Amino acid sequence: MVFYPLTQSRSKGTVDEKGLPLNLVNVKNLRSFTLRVDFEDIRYPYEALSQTLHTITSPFFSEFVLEVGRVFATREPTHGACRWWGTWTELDKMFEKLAMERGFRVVIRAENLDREPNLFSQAENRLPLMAARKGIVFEIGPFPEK
Amino acid sequence: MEKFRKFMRPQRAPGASVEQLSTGHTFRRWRSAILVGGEEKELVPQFPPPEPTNELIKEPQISSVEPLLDLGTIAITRTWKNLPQEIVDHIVFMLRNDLKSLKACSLTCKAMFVSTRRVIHRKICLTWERNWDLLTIPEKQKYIRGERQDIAVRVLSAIAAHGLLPYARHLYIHLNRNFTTANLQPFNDHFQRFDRIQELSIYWLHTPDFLCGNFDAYFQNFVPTLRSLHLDTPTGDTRDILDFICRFPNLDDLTFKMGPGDPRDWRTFGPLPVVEKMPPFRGRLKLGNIDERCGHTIQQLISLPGKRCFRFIDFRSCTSKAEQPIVDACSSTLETISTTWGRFRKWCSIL
Repeated sequence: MVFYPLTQSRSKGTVDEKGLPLNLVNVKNLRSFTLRVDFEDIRYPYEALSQTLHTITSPFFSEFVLEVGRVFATREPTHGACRWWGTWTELDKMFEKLAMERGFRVVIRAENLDREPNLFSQAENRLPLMAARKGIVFEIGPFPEK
Repeated sequence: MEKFRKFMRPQRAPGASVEQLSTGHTFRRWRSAILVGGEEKELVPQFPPPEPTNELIKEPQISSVEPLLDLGTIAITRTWKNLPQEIVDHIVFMLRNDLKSLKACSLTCKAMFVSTRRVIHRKICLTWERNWDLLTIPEKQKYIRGERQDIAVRVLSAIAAHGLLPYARHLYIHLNRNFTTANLQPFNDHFQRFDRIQELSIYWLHTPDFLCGNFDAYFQNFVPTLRSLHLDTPTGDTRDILDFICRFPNLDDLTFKMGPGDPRDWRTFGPLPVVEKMPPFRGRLKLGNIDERCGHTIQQLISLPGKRCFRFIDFRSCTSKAEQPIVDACSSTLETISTTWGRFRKWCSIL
């Protein structure tokens, strides 16, 4: 897995290449899982994210939230970086299966789309099965404090 | 076309009053609340019963269309000011997150002023910037020289002078490294008047200062009502910090963020504190910059016997080795997990 050189990074993220992905087998009542990523890092957590989501056994799991945020102020903007967030086919199938079972939905939330105006259409391309089921919810605005 | 226009006009039976055309009680209640002579007569529809006729049904003849409500002839003597204060409070509370609207409402009348005052000043911020603005030039010179004992928390006196202390439910303290017992002592009388605080956020709390006998002297008034505690960059021994947290027996939410620098203050790991009643921790746990060792300590805290079960966990820039034991400790009740990929400066502002 390629790890993006994060400027000013002191600690690795949650699902980094060295640390193990979260194991959520024992969380029996999990309803929602949220992952915050940088616009330009969307492709990188896929592998670890996939492993984490596959450990979820909760029968109540019904929402995956992808919060896409801004990059560091010090980093030069790279327009169109989201084009390279790879294929999410495997997760798409998993999400669709959950959607058939329990009305699962994917929420893609961005504070604004200045950096990546095509984010939502790209998400639909990456998750075509969920998009066909209208199981993707797009939200723009400040991230809610849950 | 003319026939179509006539047909589309609002129609009413000749002689029928406006009330008879209203579909429910809402209009009548509203009218009696604001119009002259609030006494409302019981309005019974008085349409004449239809007479049997053999003639063809004709379209209703409408000679003139009357307006449903003639605002020019209505004299409004009662206004919403006659509403009970509780209802005004409820309306104002719905605007609680819109400070601009609250300020505008507060300038309208006394009833709204009283109501908005409680909401506007629900959150009190003790920040060094506000404190700095209150200082005179000689005091600022003293402040720069480091002689801050009587001026570091001057903002508290100003808030007390405006009578805002009873309204506070959320107290946010960001005085940098000036929030010490020595600096707070001259203003402790005001500080003790915060007796209904439900949410307490403190940036840079030097916990050893406020433990032992000092806890009762400064924070005892927070104990009965405090539900949420947010600590950003607390310093001191692990045992002291956890001891401080556990002295609030009604805590549901806990936010804990390590500083961006080195965690040298966490090198000393004493035994976990022994307290009579552990907080229930039934709400949200937010952790920032937590490494494996800190995570293990927090995991120990929430694994102690008793009913402690966070339902929401929000990890911000924590290592995965710190997250896993905490997730496992809360696995029976956990409903929502939020975590991050990479490190985000913006999202690290956790308070």
